[in-house]
Amino acid sequence: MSVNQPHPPHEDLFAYRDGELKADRRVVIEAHVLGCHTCRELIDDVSRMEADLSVGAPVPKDAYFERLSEQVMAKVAAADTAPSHERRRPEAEAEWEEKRELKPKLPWFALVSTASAAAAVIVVGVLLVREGAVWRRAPSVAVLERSAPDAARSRAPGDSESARSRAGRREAKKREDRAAPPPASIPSRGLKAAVGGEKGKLDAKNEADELNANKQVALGSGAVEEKPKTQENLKEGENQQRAGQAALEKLSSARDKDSSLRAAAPEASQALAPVPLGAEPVGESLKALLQRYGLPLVWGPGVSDDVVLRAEPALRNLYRIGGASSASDSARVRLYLAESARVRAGAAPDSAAIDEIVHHYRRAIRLAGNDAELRRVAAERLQDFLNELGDEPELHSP
Amino acid sequence: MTPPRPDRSALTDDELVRLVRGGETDAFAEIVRRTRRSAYLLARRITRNHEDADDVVQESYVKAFRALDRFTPDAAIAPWLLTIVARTALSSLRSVKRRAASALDDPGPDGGAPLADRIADPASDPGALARRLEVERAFGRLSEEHRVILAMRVDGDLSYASIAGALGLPIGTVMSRLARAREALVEQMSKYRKVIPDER
Repeated sequence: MSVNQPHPPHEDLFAYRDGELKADRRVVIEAHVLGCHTCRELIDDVSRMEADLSVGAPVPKDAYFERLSEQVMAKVAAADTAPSHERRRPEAEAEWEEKRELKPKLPWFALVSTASAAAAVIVVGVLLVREGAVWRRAPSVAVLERSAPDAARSRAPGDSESARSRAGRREAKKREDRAAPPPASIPSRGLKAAVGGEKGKLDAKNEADELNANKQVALGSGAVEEKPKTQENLKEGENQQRAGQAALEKLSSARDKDSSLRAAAPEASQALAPVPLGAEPVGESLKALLQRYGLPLVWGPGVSDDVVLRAEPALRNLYRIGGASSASDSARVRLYLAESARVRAGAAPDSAAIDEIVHHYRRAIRLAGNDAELRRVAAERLQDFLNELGDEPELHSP
Repeated sequence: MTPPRPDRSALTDDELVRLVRGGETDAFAEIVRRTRRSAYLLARRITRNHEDADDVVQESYVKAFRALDRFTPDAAIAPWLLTIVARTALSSLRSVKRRAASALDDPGPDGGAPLADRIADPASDPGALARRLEVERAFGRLSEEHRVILAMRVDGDLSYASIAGALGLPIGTVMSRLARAREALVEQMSKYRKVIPDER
């Protein structure tokens, strides 16, 4: 019967097969398929191929899914603390994602930091300001040394020169861009961010600036963009400064206690050493792996290329089996993978290598979350890589 | 130590969503448990490597959790969630055109054997094994557009309407694109059959 009729369009045949046709159309197509060997064979062929595809899909073991659940729930618990106004529609999220392109991304957990975490960041920032650390990168180096003592000490002269030179240029530009703040405004600004919370939150539309601002806060500079203060703002700042002073004294007292413990028991003091602000603790598996290869917790310029290459398979495997137990761990692994890819690619990476390297850095930046130091290193390395490619403006492009 | 979560396996999707909306975040774990396999397979098929699939799935669940207020009650949670997974995976694909992934040679997600070994089920006949391998290769040769829509249909088992929603396309376009993708797969396989005529 239908054999002599023209075959229906494949759209209809497949929609019939998928149960997506409306009743009236389904009846027509069904009548044709029943009498047409060719169309039946096509449908059978496609069904068999899709079944083969499903069977061939790599299904991880149950243990992987259990770990996945735990990791998801840890992230969800963190997301649960996010103020509702910071939550975006998923549709907007997807569009937003696409627009971000190669800019260093600030992860969602950077946006969900609690007011208390922000307060802690700023209070320590104020401490550092009081110690005269404004604009110096010393806290950053200290953190680096804590996490990568050998790397920090054995940094290649050329690298550090280049880093200093870059840092110098950046700072000069910042100084040009802003009016010098009055000394009192530095802590008050920091405290304002701490108490107000939202003032210090990040604007996703201008991530490069956010990154710098965040970096400065984490470094304790407190000298983020200063706006002319009204009388009211100054009063508010004074109140916040008083409130912060109490917190500061508590922190100083805790620090004194820490110092005495350091003198009495170096090992105990090591345990009490401040971790990078907002950082998640490093997972035991990753820590053990890095120790095995003598690698610091965060990649640093002094790390040997050979060692990074040797560690790469183990790092990849750790990632695959879910051994990176937190987003920060994943970021650390991604940073190392970017570095190993860079070493492998040499001086003239092809496009696939460039894609891979940029991808790893970008993931590291996103996954670093509240670990400002880790994010800074990844962002700087990405910038450095793009600079090497002669592609510097990309990071700041709108 | 984290206290064990209450067993919520008997609850419906709808009840779970209501619990989560009511502040019982732990109930979300059961939603994850029910959907994680499909979510992973879909993400894996689109991204074509385990690491990115893993990232995509985790990111998707967080997005889903944050968007749960906008989930329509009484609807099935899996298609809704898989739509988010598909979008996130697509976004991941677009953000950077990565190295060509070799799904067959890529080690398994638990660091074990590559896919080619995994699907080599000793119980299956050699012809079926060869066909599975070839379908996987043929799939890998499709355009990204075709791979994505097939993955959404085959691995995500998403309806045309869900696919249309995720890709921002009219249903008619989904129908035609899916048809073109399947035709392309058939064509790739027919090339293979010409090389190995006795396979069928």
